[in-house]
Amino acid sequence: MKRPILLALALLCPLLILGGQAASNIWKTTSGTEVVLPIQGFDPRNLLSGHYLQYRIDFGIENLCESQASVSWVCLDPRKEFLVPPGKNQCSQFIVGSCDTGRFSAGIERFYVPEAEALALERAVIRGAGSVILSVQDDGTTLVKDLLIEGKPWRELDTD
Amino acid sequence: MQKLKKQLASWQDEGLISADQTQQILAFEAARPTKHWALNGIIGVAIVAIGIGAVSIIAANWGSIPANVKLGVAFFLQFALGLVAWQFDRSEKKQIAEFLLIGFLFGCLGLIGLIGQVFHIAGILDEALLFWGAITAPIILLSNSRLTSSLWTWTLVIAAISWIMRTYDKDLTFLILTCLPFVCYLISVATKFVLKKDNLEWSWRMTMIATWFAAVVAFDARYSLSISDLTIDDPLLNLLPFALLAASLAIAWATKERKGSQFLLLAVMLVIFTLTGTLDGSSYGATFLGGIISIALLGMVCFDLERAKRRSLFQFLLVLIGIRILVFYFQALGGLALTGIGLIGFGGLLLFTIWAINKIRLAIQSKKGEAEV
Repeated sequence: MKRPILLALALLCPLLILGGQAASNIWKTTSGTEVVLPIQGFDPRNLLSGHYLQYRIDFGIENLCESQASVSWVCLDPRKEFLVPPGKNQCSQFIVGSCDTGRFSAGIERFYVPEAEALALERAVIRGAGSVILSVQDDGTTLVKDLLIEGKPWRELDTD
Repeated sequence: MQKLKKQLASWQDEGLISADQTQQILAFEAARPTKHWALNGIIGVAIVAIGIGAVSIIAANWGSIPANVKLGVAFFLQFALGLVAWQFDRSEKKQIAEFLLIGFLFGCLGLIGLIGQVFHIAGILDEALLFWGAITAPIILLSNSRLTSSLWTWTLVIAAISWIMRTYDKDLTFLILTCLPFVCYLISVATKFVLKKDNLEWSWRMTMIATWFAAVVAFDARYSLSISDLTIDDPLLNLLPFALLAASLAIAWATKERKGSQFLLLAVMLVIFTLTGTLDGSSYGATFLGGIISIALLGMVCFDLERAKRRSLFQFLLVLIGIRILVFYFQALGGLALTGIGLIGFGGLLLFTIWAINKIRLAIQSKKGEAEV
């Protein structure tokens, strides 16, 4: 094959992969089941790292990450519980993640915010007023749709 | 040109070249088309300035731009950049095409970051870099520039090291770090003979040297700082470095890639493996032996660099050795006074060794001269 064709394919390859990833995320955000869960700052000193809020989702489960497994699930329905393989069959709605040093992580513990609003949002999350709207897929993959402060979208927060 | 004039004048003074030859060389050099390195540098600065300016303006209004617009504009710009790079490459303006390809590679990394930001994905940097490395690999296979391939290779290897350190326990991390030079060496040979890409082969060979240093530092730190217990239960894993070393030597032999320096580096790794096994068994003195062996290993490479007339690298390594010796004396002797005495003793020993070697060399040369007469 000639070089111009090969180079064109090589340049299109990352664009197509990344475009597919973006499209898949848009689809996941719009098609998943919406779940609202409260959040907590797990270390108030490091809650705001750069331009994103880092938090812990309060699933309302006592024994979260009690046993370590490379893949684990937080079951949301029919009842809230922490599951490790092979125990998710009886669960109809769940979030897939993993336990890292006793903390459940599903890649949804971050919310990017504009610098101007960052401090006000951090304070709100520290005082326990924050929650996140999640879009949960049937396979357990989850994305964050929005951040709520006292039940309202963060953009409506008066930061003055 | 001024440097050349000075050199020519000195050669002329020494009678190596005539005045006519000097003039001919100067006329030839003046008539040669000059490389546009200065112009390229200024263009580079201008592009960077425009880029940073554009990024600053966008950043100032970032919060008010809708997510879909951010993604759409970023993808459009990236596509346009790729198209321009492709066009320049097609019209044989290779240097500009390579600059744009580097921009395209960074743009891909930026897109990964943007997708993470727009969808609030709590990603990890090394995983993002490894993903970037995978999706841009086809571009690297078509690039002919050492700079492009080196940027890609080094980013990938640093990300891999970070991922290894994060994923595995300390013992396994040290083992994998020790194996990295061989992996890089094998990839460099493969890129040369299978892919026939000299630039990629060069970047992997450079990475092999860099990871070799990392392996020596890891070996040193493992003992000197008592970082790891050094016990890996799996016998197959313990054999892995030896297997990779054997494969490297076999491939070097089969492909006639038997460069002295590369063999020396591989041999040093063999010393490390053998000693790692020996030192692991001894609880006493391993702390200091690790340091002594590391200094000796670096010294060996230093001599090789002197032989190969690689002055800058030789001096760099000499500084590293000096720092390590200083740290070693502080570690071993503790107090300032004892360290001072130790260092004076070491300096004296070094001067005496140089004097003795020089004397022996002169004696051999004089005997050789007599025999020839």
